[in-house]
Amino acid sequence: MTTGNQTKYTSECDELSALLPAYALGASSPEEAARVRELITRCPDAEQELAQYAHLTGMLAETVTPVTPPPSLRASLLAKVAAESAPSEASAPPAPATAPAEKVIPFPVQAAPRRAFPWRIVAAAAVAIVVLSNVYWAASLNAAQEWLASLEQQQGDVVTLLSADGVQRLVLSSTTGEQALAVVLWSPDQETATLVTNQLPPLSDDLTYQLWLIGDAGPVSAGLFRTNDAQQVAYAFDTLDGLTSYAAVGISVEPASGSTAPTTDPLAVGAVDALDV
Amino acid sequence: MRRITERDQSALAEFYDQYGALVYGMTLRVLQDNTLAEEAAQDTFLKVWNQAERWDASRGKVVSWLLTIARFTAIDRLQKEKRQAPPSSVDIDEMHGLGEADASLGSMAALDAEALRELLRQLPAEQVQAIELAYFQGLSHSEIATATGQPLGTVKSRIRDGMRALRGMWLREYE
Repeated sequence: MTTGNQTKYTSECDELSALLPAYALGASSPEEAARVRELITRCPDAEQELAQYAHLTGMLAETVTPVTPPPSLRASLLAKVAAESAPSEASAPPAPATAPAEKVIPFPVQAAPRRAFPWRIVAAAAVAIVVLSNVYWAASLNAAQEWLASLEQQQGDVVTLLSADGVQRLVLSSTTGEQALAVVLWSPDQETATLVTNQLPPLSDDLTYQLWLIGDAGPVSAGLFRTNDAQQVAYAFDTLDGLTSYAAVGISVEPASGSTAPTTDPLAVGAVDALDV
Repeated sequence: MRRITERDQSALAEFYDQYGALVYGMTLRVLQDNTLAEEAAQDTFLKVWNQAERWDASRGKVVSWLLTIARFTAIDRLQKEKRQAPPSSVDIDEMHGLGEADASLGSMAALDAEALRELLRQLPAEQVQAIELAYFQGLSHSEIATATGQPLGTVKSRIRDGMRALRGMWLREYE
């Protein structure tokens, strides 16, 4: 949807202006939404325009006519609340297998500088969204094995890793949906880990994917990577102090030369806690 | 709200008494079915009960927050009933985040519900339909196209033009 290598400022902001209404309504496709997030920082009037559309959208909620619910609803609600409060307070978080509809990643499009995006909150919240259920993983593993077989000649070590014992698998989930976007394979006694995926779309030449290890000090770059012609990635990276020193792993889209800190919001995140290390 | 965070059940009851009709009105609008709407309304208040600490006064009006939860809870249920995949581009916290941007409105007077209803009455019906399908059913452009049998480009234009017209009217009249 981009206009090739043309980056004329005016036309980009016109493009953004046309995308904002649907974005505020939540009607954008994932590509359109990604495009908005990409362009929003480059067009000075866009923040206010988006805020206005967001306000309009928010007000649509209040155009709804209130309807008094049946009294049984009140009774039922309060009974449930009373029942939930009775057992011990030490209850575990809700069963992760249901992957709740709220995607818990605060994504405020604000006037604050882009780098203020709270990646630390992403790390904490990622625990709630990454689901490593057996069924789910099996599907990913099969898919991964199928296409990895085709990479065998170039990336023989990846295939070995996938089937080796003791290899930890960390799934990075899309931040806009519940689907898996990538998997990190890691042997705790190794210093390098490998990111594998065939789910990331190819980027234009002026952009790259960047991998981040997110710890207490915020995101640290684990390098840049691109998809190959078959839209595959098998990217080996240094885990620095080992993956378990970090809370999460994330992927963002950055300019082709990379960035010292993420300048766009994460495309995919995986919580290291979800590793069964 | 603070009392709800402190697990004060009577606070939740009061909260329900104040906002129950708004929430139920929203879930009914989305689901068009009493039973489903009641369940979604109940789920909404349960979410408030369990997640009250996520809201604070800097996030704007509690009503907006509440109705966003209600809308998404209802849309979620709608998708399940229709056995559709959840919309992949809609993120509830993103929508919350957008709604909190009131500070960026600048000198614009905030719009009220009655004024917006009036503006909506001035739009062509097909634009309103597209906007409402996106908002109350959580449909993306392509889903609206499928639902209405209209070409994708037409749907995109209707949403864009309709929202632009609303914004334009708002800017002219309420500045």
